[in-house]
Amino acid sequence: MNTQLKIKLLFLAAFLIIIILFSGLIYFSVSNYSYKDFYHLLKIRAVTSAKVELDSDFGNKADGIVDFRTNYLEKLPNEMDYFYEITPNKNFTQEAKQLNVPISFFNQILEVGESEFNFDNQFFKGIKYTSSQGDYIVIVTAENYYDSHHITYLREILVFAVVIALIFALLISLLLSKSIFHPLNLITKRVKDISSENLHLRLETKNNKDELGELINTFNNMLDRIETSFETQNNFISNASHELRTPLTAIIGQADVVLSKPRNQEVYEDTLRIILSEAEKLDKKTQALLFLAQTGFNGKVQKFEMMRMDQLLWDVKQTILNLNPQGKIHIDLSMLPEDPKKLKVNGNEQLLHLALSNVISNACKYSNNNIVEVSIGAGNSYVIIVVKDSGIGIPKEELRYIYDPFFRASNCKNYEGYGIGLPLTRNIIRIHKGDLLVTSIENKGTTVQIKLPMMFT
Amino acid sequence: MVKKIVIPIDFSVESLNQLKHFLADSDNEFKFDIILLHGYQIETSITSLLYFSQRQLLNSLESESFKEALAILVNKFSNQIKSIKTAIFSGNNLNAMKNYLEANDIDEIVYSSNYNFKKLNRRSFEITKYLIKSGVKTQIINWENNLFMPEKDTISEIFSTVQINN
Repeated sequence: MNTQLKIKLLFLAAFLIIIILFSGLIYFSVSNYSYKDFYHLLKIRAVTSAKVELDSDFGNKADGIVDFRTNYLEKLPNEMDYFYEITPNKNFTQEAKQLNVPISFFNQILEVGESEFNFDNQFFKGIKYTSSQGDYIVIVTAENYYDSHHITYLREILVFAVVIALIFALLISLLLSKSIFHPLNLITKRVKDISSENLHLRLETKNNKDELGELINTFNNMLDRIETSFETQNNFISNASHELRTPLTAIIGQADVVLSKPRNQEVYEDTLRIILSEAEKLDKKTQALLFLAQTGFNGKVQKFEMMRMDQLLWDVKQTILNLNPQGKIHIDLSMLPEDPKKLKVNGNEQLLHLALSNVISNACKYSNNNIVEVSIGAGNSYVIIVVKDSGIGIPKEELRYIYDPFFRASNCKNYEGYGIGLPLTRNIIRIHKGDLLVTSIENKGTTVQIKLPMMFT
Repeated sequence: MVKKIVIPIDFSVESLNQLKHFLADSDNEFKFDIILLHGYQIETSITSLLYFSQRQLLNSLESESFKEALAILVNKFSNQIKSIKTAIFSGNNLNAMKNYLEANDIDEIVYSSNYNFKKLNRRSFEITKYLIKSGVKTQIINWENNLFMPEKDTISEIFSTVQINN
C-alpha cells in the first residue's frame, strides 16, 4: 500500500485509540463513582431506618428523624429494609436464602460491622447496629437508579460520540493527506516530463524555506549539474574531432598542393617537414586526449606508492627546464615542515608529475618566462603546493570555464595550447583525493593552490 | 628558555604574518608558548552563558584556510613552538587586559602597528590598543600591504614573501 494510504490509516488508528481510551476512562470512572456512591447512600438509609425502628421509643428525637426521612429522603426504587436480631450462635443461612444473598454477606457484617453485595441492579448494604434493644443486622436494599438509567445513557452517548468523531477523523485524514501529498504528486508528474531532450526544464519553486522547497531546490541544482555535464560531453566530442581535424587538414592540404605538379627536391623536403611537425602535434593531442579520458575514469586502478612531494618538485623543475631552457622556476622551501614525514603523499608518480609539470609550465608560458615561485608546506592533513606567476592572468568571468576541455581564455591568443592541461590536472588531483584552487587577477598574475592528502597526519 | 607570547589576530591568513616573521627572526634557543588572541564580545544572555563553549566558538570563527595556514606555520617552526592556541578576549577595558596578561604569565606581546585588523564578526573588536598600553614588553612586526594578490584570503597567502619593515 502506498504512503498516502499508510498515513491515512495511521492517523485514523491513532485517533481511534485516543478517543476510545478517553471515553473508556470517562465511562469507567463515572460508573465506579456512582457504584460506590450508591452504597454510601444505602448506608445512610440503613443507619437512619435502624435509628427509627429500633430506637423509636426515644420520643421526640426519633420523630424528628422520621420526619426527616419521609420529607427529605424519597424512597428508592425497590427499597426494602430488613432487621435481624443478632443472637449468640445464630446462623443466618435461611435469611440469606430468603434475600438471595450469599452467607458471606452476613458473616462479614458480623465480623467487620458492614458489608456490601449487588446482584444485577439490586444493591444490598448491611450494617451491624447496636441499639437499646440489642444488636441487630440492618439491611437496606434498593435498585441502583443511577446505574440503570444514567450510566446506561452515558454509555450509549459515548459510543455514539465515538462513531461521529471517527467519521470526522476520516474526513480530516483524507483532507490532510491530500494536502501533504499533492505537492509531491505534482513534483513526480513534472519530473516525468524531464528527459534527455528537455533537460532545461525545471521545477517550480514556491516557498523556499520549508522541506518541500528544499527538495525542489536540490532537484533543480541536480538538474543544473546534469545538464552542464551533458552539454560538456556533447561539446567535448565536437571539440575533440575539430581539434584533431585541424592538423589533418593541414597535412592533406600540404600534400595535395605539392603533388599537384612536379616540384624540386627542396620543396618536397620542406613539405615533408611540415607534414611531420603537424603529425607530431596530432600525436601529442591524441595522447593528451587519451590521458584525459583515462584519468576521467574513477574506477581505473592506478599504481599508488609513497612519494615525497619536495622531491617531485625538483624532478618536475628538471623536466620543464629540459624542454624549455628559458623557464625560470624558483622552488621556495622557506615553509618546509621540520618533520619531513609530513611531505609524504600516497600517489602515482607519473600522474602527479604530469599534473604538476602542466601547472608549472603553464605558469612559465603565460608569464613570458618570468620567474615562477613554487612553494610547498604541510598543513593539518594536506600537503600544500602553491605555484605563483606574475603573468597575464585569467579574466574573472572566465575563471569558471577553465576546467572545460579545450577552453582557452580570451587573452591567450598569442600563446600555444590545446586547453586540455587543466582539466587533466584536475582529474589527476581528484584521483588522489586532493583539491585544486585557481585564483587570478588579470594582468597581475595567477596563483594555483594544490592540496594533496598527507600519508602520515 | 620558554617565553609566553600573545599575538592579536582577526582570524585572517594575513594576520598570521605577525607570527611567521616573529618566529623567523627569533633565535633558535627560545621556545614559545603562543596565544593567538581575538577580541570578541561574547553574548551575556543567560542561555548563551549556560551553553557557552569556547571550543565551539573558536571553531565557528576559524576558517579552513586559517586552520591550514596556521598548521603550515606550526609544522615549519615546530622546534620553536612549545604550545600554540587560539583564544578569545572579551574584556572591554585596559584593566581586564592587564588581568588577562597577568593571569597567563605573558612575557611579550608581538603585534603589527600598521595592519588593519578586519572585523570578522559584528561582535569582534580590536585589542591592539589595550595590548600596547598594558605595560608588557612589546615587539612590532610590520609588512608591506599587498592588496593585489590573487591568492588573498586563501591558504596560499601564507607563502607570499612580503617585505617586512620594522
